Amino acid sequence: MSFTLYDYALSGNCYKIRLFANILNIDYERIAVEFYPGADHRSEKMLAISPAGTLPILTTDDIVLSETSAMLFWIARNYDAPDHWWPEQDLTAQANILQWMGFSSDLTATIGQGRLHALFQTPIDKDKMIKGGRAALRKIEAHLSEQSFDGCSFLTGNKPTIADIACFPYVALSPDVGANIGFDHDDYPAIRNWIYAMKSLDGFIPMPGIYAMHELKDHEIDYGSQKSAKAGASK
Amino acid sequence: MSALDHAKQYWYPVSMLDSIPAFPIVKTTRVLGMDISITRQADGKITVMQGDEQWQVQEIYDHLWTSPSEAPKPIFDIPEANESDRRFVPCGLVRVRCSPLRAVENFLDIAHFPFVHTDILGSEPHTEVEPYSVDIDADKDEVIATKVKFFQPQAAKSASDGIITDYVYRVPSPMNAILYKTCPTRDDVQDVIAIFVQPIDEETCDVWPWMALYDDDSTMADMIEFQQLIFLQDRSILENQVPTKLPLDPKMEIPTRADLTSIAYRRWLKRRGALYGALLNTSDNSVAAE
Amino acid sequence: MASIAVALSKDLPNGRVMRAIVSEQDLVVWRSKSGILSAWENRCPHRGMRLSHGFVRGEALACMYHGWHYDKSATCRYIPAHPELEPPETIRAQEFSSIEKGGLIWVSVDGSLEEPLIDENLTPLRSINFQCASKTVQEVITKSTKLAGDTDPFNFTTKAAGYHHWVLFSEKKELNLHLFFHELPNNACKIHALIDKDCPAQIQKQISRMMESWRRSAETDYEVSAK
Repeated sequence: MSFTLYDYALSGNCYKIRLFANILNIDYERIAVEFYPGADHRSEKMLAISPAGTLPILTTDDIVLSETSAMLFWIARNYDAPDHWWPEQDLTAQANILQWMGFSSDLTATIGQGRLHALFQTPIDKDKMIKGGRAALRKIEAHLSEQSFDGCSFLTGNKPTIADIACFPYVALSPDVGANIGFDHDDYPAIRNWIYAMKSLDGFIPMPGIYAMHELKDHEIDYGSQKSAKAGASK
Repeated sequence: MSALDHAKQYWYPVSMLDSIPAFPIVKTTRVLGMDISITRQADGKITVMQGDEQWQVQEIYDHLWTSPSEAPKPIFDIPEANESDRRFVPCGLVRVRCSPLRAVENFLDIAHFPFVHTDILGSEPHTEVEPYSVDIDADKDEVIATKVKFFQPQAAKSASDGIITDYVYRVPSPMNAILYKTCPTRDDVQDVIAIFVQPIDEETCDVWPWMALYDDDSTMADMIEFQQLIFLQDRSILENQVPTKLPLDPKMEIPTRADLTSIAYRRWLKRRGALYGALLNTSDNSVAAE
Repeated sequence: MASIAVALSKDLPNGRVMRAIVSEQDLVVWRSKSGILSAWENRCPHRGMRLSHGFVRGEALACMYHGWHYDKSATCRYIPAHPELEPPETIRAQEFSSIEKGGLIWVSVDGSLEEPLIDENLTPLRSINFQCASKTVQEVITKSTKLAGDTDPFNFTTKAAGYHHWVLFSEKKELNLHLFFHELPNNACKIHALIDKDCPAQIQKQISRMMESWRRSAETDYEVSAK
């Protein structure tokens, strides 16, 4: 067993780690923590493991991490062949990745908090969240548009990096927060295309609010010979 | 009787019992468009006030229930709530921007499992819904669906192949639904899962999932998380149904045989005048963009 | 009402689905695997689910809720809960006319579908959303083109200013910037922007940023006048 992840299925931050681990095909131990309604992540038992009082937590015998950006970096350096998710030799790429890893915390602070409020009615400054969340979505939309002028589909180039993993969940989950507040993906074509590219990655897994790619499954109906489709729908 | 007056006759869940704060902190929420405050008094007694008016309360199924009526209809019975060897799992609330009735109807539906709860409660190509029975229980005036079967790929963590899961559904009151399903670990009993819906208003609700399971292995966190995960997948659907209210005119939304429970539920609502959160006529049909 | 540009063609590749709103009409716009374009009422006739959340399987659009498949004629052809059933022809989504021209997707919701008069060889730039009416944006554009001096890299002048379609001309760069205004409910709008020739990514970025700057001004103006 490689590492232990203290996890909550509904958390976009936890999903970053599950998604990346699945893409890299890493086996790990998962422990569910009752974030809501129990707030067990702030229990004495959990604070003893990680004083940050947040989820996820990644632990090994040597390390305890509570920041997802640090976890993604640690996983990439440990398990990924170099030059892909964290380009080992490319300083410019690394700096750009760190920019977007930093930006990902803006997404958590706005869309992430807004989503918790929308789901569980946790208290929040709603106007500030909406303004901040919209600004963050516009920033990433503008950047992805500019990337597309250069022929690039991802945040820092033509291949996804841990920056894409870090920003993906709360951008993809923004419609969960509410309608008519500028959080729907209909307003952001470049984001829509990027989400599609992320969902098309080998090893992609869904979470509630981010659907599986049904379009990739091999159940196409050929209207000319519907019998063959029926044969597939065995009982 | 108006839709609101009809709705006022029932009990509604407004909090989990163990999350009502200690005296003198007041918790506020909303029922049927009315703001209420919940207080645990110094003597431990819980009161619900709507303005100057005190509402009745009762503590049952791990939740606090209240009603604006002075003589509400008796709350429905869940006999399994008295079986002490079950584990009772209240899951907290999930806010959904949809009619309370849409939330209940979705809970009664199995045909969406392969597409919404993919690889958990269903998966392609096992999409067929076999014929099942729906009745109105004359004594209790409840909608009952029986002999419901569906193929589930991962009904239990240990199962390497999928199994056929059996379901029974009960709708004991317009905004509550209970299902009984195959217990993965025991043949002789069924697990119980319910949703208790708190109508915030006609187009918003707080859903309180509740379970009574035979499961000695899973942690509380595992069980709650599983139910929340399923319900959050449904939430993305519920917030995107148009119109937000539940249409009772069969011309507005076309059902098939797989929707027998939903058809019976809509008729039952219409017959008893449970129209809070419903659309009665096609003329009310407002499906324009919001 | 004429046809309205709802998206850049490049933003809806084959096999993809999007939502668009034209005159309060909620629409699903989608393109089959072979590239056939359709625009329908954004509502599955079964349980009212927005079809824009659905997915494309070959030449069909499937609803996310129960997987009902609709073919290019908007007719339901497959109901997964009843795989053996041939669905009645009466189960269909409401169709609207759509057309593709000049790098844009056009939809008409009033039955008319005038062929848009537009140059066929435009290069798509981007679609951008504004939280204010298009009139406000147009005022800002007029103001900012007038204010732009010789130091401005483009120094755009307004060549044509129709109701939905504006053309800005830059003598410096020898290019026309086409702006298609798409009014949305709740005092919002989109601009679909295209250029009349291929130009380097650097110029595309400059124009994209110029539009961001219009938005900052337009939304401030909007907030001030709304108070």
